[in-house]
Amino acid sequence: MRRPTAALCILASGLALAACSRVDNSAGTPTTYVDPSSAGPVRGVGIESQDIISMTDQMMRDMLTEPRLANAATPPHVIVDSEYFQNESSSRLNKNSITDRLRVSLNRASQGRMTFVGRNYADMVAKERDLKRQGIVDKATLPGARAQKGGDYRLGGRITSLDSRDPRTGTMQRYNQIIFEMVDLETAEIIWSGIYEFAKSAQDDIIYR
Amino acid sequence: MREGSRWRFRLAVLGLAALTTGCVAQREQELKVDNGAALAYLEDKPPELQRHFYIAMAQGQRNRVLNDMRLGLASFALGRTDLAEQLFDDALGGIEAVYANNETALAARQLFVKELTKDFKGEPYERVMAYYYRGLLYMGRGEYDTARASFKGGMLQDAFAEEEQNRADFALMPYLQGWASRCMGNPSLAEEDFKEFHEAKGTASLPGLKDNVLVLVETGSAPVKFATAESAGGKPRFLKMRRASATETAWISWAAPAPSQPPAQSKAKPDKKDKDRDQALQQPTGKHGADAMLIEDIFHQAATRGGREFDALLDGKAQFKSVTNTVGNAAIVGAVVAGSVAARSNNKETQRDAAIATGALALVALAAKVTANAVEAEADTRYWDNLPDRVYGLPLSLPDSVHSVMVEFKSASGEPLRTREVTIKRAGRCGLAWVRGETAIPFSARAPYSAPTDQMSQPVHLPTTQSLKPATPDPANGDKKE
Repeated sequence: MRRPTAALCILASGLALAACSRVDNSAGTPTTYVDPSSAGPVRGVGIESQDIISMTDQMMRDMLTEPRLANAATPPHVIVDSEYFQNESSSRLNKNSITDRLRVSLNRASQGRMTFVGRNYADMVAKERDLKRQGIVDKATLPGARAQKGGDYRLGGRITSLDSRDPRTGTMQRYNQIIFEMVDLETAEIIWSGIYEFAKSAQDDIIYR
Repeated sequence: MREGSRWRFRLAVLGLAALTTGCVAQREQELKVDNGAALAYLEDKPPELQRHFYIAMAQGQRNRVLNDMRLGLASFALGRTDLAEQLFDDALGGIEAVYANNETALAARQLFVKELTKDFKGEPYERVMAYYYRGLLYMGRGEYDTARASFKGGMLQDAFAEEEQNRADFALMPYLQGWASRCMGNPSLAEEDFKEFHEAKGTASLPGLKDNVLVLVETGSAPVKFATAESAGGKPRFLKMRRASATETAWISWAAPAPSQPPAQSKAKPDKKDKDRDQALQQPTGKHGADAMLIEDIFHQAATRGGREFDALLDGKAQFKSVTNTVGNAAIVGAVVAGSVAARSNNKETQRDAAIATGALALVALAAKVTANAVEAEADTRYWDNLPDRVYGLPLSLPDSVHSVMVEFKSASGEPLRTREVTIKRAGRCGLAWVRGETAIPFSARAPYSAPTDQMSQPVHLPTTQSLKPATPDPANGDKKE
């Protein structure tokens, strides 16, 4: 009697304890720095930090090989911002994160071979110029300019995506295409183009399908 | 049975019975929130939602997306767009994260763990609506391309319906994509988007080329989820929906200095409703009005998803539960028979053997019943409870001098229910007027089924600054100041 009863008790207890199987309610993970140029622990199929770093680096290198941009006798005035950079994809993103990184990288790498015009700061500059000209503030140290700088070239571009879903497996795939173009602001000639494309695929856990 | 054995047997039975109770996974429980952290967190939150935000803190990661969505919507309705943006961004971050090799996801698949222990991501209709509200917030800022991306992202969430005709048919999304494309000055893209809208919603009318204000009216309350076990077309379905509110319609009126233009694009064969609308738009009195068009029935979207892949796992759990229960019943019958043999027999050896058999079968029955009882085959019924039932829309061509429109909510029989004045928020080329028939502030601080039953009805006591102060020493108890 003793052995079978004990064995059955253990078996039943085990089953009952398994019934109360608890999901770990961990306290969390302390903040850790993640390399933005590599895939982090949370991933999706959209445009992520490593994609932005990779694409802007590639575009910067490519742009610096264009003689009209990087080897002109007089450094051209270029405007690199998101004003004419359209997002037609299904990824919600702040386009400035792409154009800002591109501008900063280009500015540092070009070492004076291009002059960057901060058109997004035009309002700020105009206000200060007005204050100086009205005599409300002094003329500061730099010589006065007749007008703010105009642009020779301006960045344009488009982000597009193509999404596909397999309802049978729950697999999703997104092809992302980002094009960058430098446009002559007098003639509308596109003097440089670059393209960056990648596709990502993922399948969510069955509990979400 | 000897006396010692009997006691061991009784203890084992008692222990097992105790173990069957209170099998609420720890992850379901609300955590104790630090008062200081809660006060700091609640400082900039709307007073109407402080209890809700406090509960969101206590419920943590498991309900993060759910609480973000309901509080994001409530914040949006209260005009706290900055907060709403943060909450929806966080919710969409959770929705878009791919759960692969995730521990909580793995655990939720286990036999003895409830589906609702998983991190909430919502059913497709809920996910789509999170993208919808985020898109409206982008539109409010004049970021029409990102708004379009959000609506497009939402449409993709609707791609997994069981039946093909119900896949990617969330017409509200392509309609708003098209509207956003127009507002960003891209007519060719708008044309593509409206084509997609027509694929989802037949020949419904489109905004006119001169329309520059979109009025969106949300009526009714959220579809309600409930757990059930039924087979539809051979496939098991464990999650079902029911409509929670009656049909309402919306009549929109405005005062304009000049009559508005009728829509330039409309469906090939206009029906009576469209003619009425056109006539109403052209009234020369300066007071204009039109019926809003039903763009989306949220309940319909929720109810036509069909069976989920996960339902097959729940079905497996349910079958295991049923078989184990049957084994338990058979063992009980066996134990009763063996017990009666032991009682009737005069032979001591037979009595002993029958008693052993009775005990063994009783334990098997108990173990089987405990196991069957512990199998968690119920679907997760947590839901976004402040969603609307339907979304109506009316695109209008209104001059900048028109700052608001009046929205009259009507019953299905045409009885007026309530009237709201809605401000038009203009950004860039377009304006948006958004209104709800019912409050967006959830009645309960907790989303339905977001906590164990005993916690669901517990009152929420917000911490006060007093609760942070250290206890004052009581001289009567001999406490002395240093």
